[in-house]
Amino acid sequence: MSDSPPAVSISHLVKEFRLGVFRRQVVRAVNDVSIQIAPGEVYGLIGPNGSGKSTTMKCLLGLLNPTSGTAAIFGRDSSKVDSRNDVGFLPENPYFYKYLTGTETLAFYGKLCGLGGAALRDRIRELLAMVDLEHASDRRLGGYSKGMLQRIGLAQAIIHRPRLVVLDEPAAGVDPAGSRKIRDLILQLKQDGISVILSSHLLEQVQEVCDRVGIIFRGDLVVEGKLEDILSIEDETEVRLRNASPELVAKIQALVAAEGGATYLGSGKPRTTLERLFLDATDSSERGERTVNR
Amino acid sequence: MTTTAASPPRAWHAFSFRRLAALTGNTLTQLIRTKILYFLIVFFLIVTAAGFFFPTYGEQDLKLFKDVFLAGMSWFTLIFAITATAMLIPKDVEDRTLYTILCKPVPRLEYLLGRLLGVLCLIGISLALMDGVCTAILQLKAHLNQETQLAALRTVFGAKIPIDEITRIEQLYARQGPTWDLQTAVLGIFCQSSVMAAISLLLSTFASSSLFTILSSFAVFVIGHGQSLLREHFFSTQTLGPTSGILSLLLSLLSPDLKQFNHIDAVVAGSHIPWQLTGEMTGLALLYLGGYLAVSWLIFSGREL
Amino acid sequence: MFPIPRILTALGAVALLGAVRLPLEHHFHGRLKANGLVEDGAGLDFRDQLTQNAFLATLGGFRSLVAAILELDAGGEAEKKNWGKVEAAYRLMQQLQPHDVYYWDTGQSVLTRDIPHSYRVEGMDPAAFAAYTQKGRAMVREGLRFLPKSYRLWEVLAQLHARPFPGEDLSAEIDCWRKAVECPDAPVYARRRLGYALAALPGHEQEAWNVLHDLYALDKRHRLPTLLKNLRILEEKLDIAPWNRIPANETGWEP
Repeated sequence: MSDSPPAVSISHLVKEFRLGVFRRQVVRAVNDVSIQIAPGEVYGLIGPNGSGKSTTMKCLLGLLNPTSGTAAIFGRDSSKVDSRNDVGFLPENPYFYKYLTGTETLAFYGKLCGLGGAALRDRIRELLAMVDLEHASDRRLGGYSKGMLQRIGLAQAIIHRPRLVVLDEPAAGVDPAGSRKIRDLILQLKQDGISVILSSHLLEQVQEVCDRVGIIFRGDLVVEGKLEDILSIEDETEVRLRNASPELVAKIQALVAAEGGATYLGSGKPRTTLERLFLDATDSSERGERTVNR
Repeated sequence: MTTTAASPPRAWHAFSFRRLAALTGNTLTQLIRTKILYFLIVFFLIVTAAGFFFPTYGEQDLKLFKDVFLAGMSWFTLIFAITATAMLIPKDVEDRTLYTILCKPVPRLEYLLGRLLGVLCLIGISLALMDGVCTAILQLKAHLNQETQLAALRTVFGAKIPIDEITRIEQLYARQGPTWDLQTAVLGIFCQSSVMAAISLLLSTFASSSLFTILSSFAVFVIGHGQSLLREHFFSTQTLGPTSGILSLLLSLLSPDLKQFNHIDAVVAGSHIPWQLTGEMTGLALLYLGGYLAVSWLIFSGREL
Repeated sequence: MFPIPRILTALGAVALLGAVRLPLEHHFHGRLKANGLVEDGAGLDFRDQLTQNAFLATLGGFRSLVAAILELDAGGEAEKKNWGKVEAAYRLMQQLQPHDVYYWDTGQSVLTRDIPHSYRVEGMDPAAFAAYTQKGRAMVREGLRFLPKSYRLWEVLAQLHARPFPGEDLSAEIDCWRKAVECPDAPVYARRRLGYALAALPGHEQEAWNVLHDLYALDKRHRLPTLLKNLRILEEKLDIAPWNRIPANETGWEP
């Protein structure tokens, strides 16, 4: 068992918003959500629009104060500023200063993270090359396309080499080639042992890169677990054979445990798709059912 | 090490000059690149040029020029301090650039301080430039007026102008020309604008729109010029009724005294401002800045984004 | 427990800041007043005498600018010889900027020179001339209430008393020069003026000689023709010992 604290530890998180002139109307955006992400894990946080994903992430990043419950990054309370020392965030529809150039933007965020001097300059050059924005480094962000903004956003998120990266819709509005590059980047991060929280509506991409997934619906964490587990269909069994004759298949149907002659490759549950699971889960939650598979 | 590899956690300090400098520099860049400055510089140039078109000469000419350019500087920096500061936080909230800053290890107090310092830097630089230009023009005008008066005396006395007359003219233009007291008046303008910028920042931490902040700030500016009367009324030896006394005290406590930073009248009149008073004035301005910044932080630290 | 809204806490903090700065500002205000750097009163008295915009400008701390613009207007009135309006304008300028010696000096100059000069063709009634001179003197004395250490005003008053009217105290000019030389901004030549005034008034010859002789000995640049002439006259009147007289061949200093 590892001694290092979890990358993310969200425990019984509740967030309520008070609305109305006299702030009497209470809206519970996040309802008792608990998530643990181990170091080096890629975690997919998915859910319909308005489900509480962004609110959960904002509580984790200290942008919102939880009504109750706790959130921590590598053991540091999210409400403390130093917890952000080790996290990079790419927001949805990246919000940067349009009057700064690409280089200036990275320099600004790099300095906010404590970088400076030659080390920062080298890092900026490295990142601009990585996101293929060297040609536009001296152009103001006001003249960048959406894809370019997304890439510069990725660069600023990892400029200080954080151990946790939070990506909110990183491929939103990006063409397939760009989306593939982003997928490759996430896999690279995974390979380097960086913990990632990925929030995306591109469920195929989530299915490709994530180790674990949590589905939030109307503030509740309705499904959560390892991808291979949660995608399994409980009431079915899958048997896989190699070089089996049709007769053998028929015999196996009755005597599967004792027969030889075929290579038994393994057994498991037939897989559904994440998209199907997502739709089923949100539909079943409306009927009051809940499944959490850890 | 690959581009994406993590590094060991960097030491984090609750206060960092580098972070503050980055925020201050960013604010400075923003204000310069949004071109609001250019419009106000044109305004200032018009106001100062107007000081040349009046049919005046001699001492009156110099006094009027000082009046016009000091008033122009005062209004320019005031409008800039209020409007530029009022737009900073609401724009960051609206554009959501605030998220990307505050999800970095940046304390909210540092963010506020960086924004305020950026505005103050630009006000200071603008004032220094305007002061430099206007002081040079004033020196030129003083010299020209002095020469004109001496030339007039030469037509009467020839080469032997009485030493008394020369001394009187030289003393007159030395007093009405560029002096250190003039720079004290400019410093007072800077202090007043700084305090108004801090007030504007405070209001913007909870206001829902820039327009509200701007209008409220100008209202505070107006009240601030009457605060000294309320304060002195409270401290006066005259017996105050309970209502009058409480009202005077409350308004004095809540509103700033901006008149104490305005020494334009005294300087144009030729009065000397002792250095100690200049130091006290600066100290009071710093007290205001620190206090309003602390209150801004108090409000902003609890603001949900 | 019901949480106190942050706004109320912030208001409390602003009030606390006010409690700290109020006594400091009161002290600072006192020092500004002592140095003549602030004007008393709310300035609400000017409302009837100014346009609304000008009045608002005075409340906003731009009394000097309003006074300067008033003076421009006064210049226009002076061209039309509306002396009543000109005088009223200068009195208002003096109220707006009581610590500005310029408005007191220029105001009295209007009364004692500009107005009489404007009647140079048709001539001015001596009584009217005397009345304007007295008005000018009164104006300068009013200015000296605010600026008691102003050399310029004492000099101007001395010059106004240099033309005494029948029955007036002839030593008034000398009193003014005495005050003038004590002012911190008094130029060096002020003592010469005092000496000349003393020399012109019978009964003050010894004092006059003392003053002028001290200047003569102090710096050769004071050895101007008028000073030498006055000294020689006084030497004769006072029968000064030969060794203490200025040389006969003394020609004085040429700039």
